[in-house]
Amino acid sequence: MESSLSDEALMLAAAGGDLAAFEQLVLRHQESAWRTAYRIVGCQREAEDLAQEAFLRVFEARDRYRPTAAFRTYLYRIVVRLCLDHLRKRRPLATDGLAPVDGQLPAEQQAAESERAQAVRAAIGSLPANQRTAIVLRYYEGLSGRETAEAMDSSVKAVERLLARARKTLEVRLGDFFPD
Amino acid sequence: MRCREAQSKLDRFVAQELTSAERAQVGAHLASCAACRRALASLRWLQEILADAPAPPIPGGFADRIVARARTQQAATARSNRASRFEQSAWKTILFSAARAAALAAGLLLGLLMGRDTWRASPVAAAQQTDLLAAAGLAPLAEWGGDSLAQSYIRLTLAGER
Ligand SMILES: [Zn+2]
Repeated sequence: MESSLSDEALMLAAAGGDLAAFEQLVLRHQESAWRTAYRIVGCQREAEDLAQEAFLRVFEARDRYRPTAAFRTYLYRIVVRLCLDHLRKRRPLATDGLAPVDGQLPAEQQAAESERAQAVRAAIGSLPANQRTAIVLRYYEGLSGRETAEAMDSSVKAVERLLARARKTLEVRLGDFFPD
Repeated sequence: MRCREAQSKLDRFVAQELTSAERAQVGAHLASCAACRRALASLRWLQEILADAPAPPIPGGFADRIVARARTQQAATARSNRASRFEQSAWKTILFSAARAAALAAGLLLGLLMGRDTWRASPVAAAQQTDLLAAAGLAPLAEWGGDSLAQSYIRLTLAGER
């Protein structure tokens, strides 16, 4: 059942022992937590473990949660921390095969699309983890500069610089796809 | 404004997150710098192709698995709270037994001292003995003058159990 309560109100209910409220939060945010983890670590199996772990950390800390920051940013922050810790322990980036392509596109376009999608994934995978994280939060998840900084436990200026450096690398790597 | 700074602000320029002063500075720089205009075009292009790159669908049963683990954890927490209450009462029993054993040992020691004092039959020794009891925190033993020391400490150790 969909609840009209805010994330923060659901979190307070979860702290009071309401498991259904926690389930609502999971349903609302599972997609973004999973996608973020997947795009940072590049492996579906690891992304599932990390995103699940993030929600369980939220659950464990439910008594200590204070609605000072938006729940969404709070969750991103936990996902990001877990993923970066994980990558520090695991050096080489494992990547899955091709992502599924849109079945509606004509065959030629589909092939071109998947080649580009593949190149994008490889280029993003080659970035240093903190640059990749900034790209994922800012451009894929659509967080503001401030939210990205909060999720990365960093400053707006530092995030601006990370993004500028990442864009330079991506421009070079993906230059073939640039429409002149 | 230099190119480096202008380019790091482009991202928030596009998202309209800059203050009006910053926005004007970046705008003025862009008007006079072809390299930064190219960087702006490439930023827009990059955002477009990133938005296009699909992510695999979330694994089936993802939310259910999390909730099941949370439920298990909640039950375990409730169990461990009960266990810690039990542990606290277990500790009380252990501490009480230890206190009783200590009282018993002190009693035996006093019995020995007493025997030696009786053998010496000295009034000074009797006074020292009372002081000794007070010093050891066992004043009740000294007060039960009528009973033998053995009876006293047995009474003391049993008193704790009631
Ligand atoms: Zn410039």
